[in-house]
Amino acid sequence: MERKIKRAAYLLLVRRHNYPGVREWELEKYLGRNYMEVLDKLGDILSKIGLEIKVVNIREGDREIKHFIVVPERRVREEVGGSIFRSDEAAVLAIAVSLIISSENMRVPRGEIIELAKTKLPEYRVERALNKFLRLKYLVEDGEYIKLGLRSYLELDIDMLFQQFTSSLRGVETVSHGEDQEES
Amino acid sequence: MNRESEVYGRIKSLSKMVVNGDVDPLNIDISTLVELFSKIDVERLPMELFMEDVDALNGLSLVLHYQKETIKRYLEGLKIDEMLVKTAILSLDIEALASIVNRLYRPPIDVSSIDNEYILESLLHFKNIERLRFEFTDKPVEIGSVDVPVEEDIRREMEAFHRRVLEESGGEWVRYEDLLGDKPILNSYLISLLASEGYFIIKVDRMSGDIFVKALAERREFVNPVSIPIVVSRGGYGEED
Repeated sequence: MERKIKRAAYLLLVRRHNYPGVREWELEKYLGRNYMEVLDKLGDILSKIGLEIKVVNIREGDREIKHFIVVPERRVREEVGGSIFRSDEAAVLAIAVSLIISSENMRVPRGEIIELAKTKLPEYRVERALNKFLRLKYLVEDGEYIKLGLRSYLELDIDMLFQQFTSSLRGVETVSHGEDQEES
Repeated sequence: MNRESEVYGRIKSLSKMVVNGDVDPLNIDISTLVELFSKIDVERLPMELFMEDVDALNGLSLVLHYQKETIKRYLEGLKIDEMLVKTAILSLDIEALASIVNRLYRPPIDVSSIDNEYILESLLHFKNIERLRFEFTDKPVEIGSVDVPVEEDIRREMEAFHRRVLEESGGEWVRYEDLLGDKPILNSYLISLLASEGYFIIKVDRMSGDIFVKALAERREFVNPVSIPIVVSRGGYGEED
């Protein structure tokens, strides 16, 4: 088991493809069918240094593939904070990702993202940010539509988006109620 | 237009709307469509309607597929109400929107390693890239591969470069850019290889960003050696080279 845990750590932490992490079939190949048991044990070790194993479902054609990566625990990440994007770029990514998630087929016309983002930023900055995220593969183009790219699935906790939006909106409501009271 | 053709047309147009994302697939009452579909006597259909029947059946299966996907996304918590999203986007300012992405961001932990073998592989790869020049005719003209010695010569090149730098600098710190000379690609590789092997030490002035290199007369064994990466692709793992 110890050897398998070491092998699992290597597979998960040392990049062997263009993307970090490991696919389910690779874990089966190198760790055997009981790979989840090995991952549980490795997860216990990683949790001692604030890391955890995250499973991401990635759609490839008609198939859905489980992809395993190691990420910092949410609490640790929040405590350390920091941002890798400029605010205006991050805002465009937030708009694009949320529109895609709320769309019927997980894809949105490029023009729709630009129209909405234009209410916040000049069009040239929106275009520049969109092109950057397409280049970095956070987003991918599908004809005139834009879909989520592999990096969005791997690096963003998309399942938390709904919670983040509702909590942000609650913040707005609180502020606006406060202002109303002051005016009256 | 006969009744069958009308039913097929309706199903095909609905499926097209679903695929384009114009209609929520869950708003479509699939049982009514199946009922209409099942009432058609396929065996008595003329040939032209038979093909429409196949298309419509395909459309119906697409609607079912998207219904399944939507339900799945709702269950996984991935589906968010479109109105809620648009309201939120319009209500929030740039900082608040940016903070949503920052709160969602959890980068995968990724150990990248590099060693002399990798550097030599990169060198061979670089050596084998055919360079093209575009002339006014837009016709690419081959101008040969990059003139960089490969593995059999690299050890000799390293020794000569080390000797030359040691003599010229007298063992003092020299600016990295000054060492690149007229062969920047080859010399940057040699500096990296010599530093990795303990013949050069490199320091970076954090304030100015200047890089300095010092040639050592004797090879130094480092307690905690640090690899010197040569940036071949400047982007992240998703970015095109």
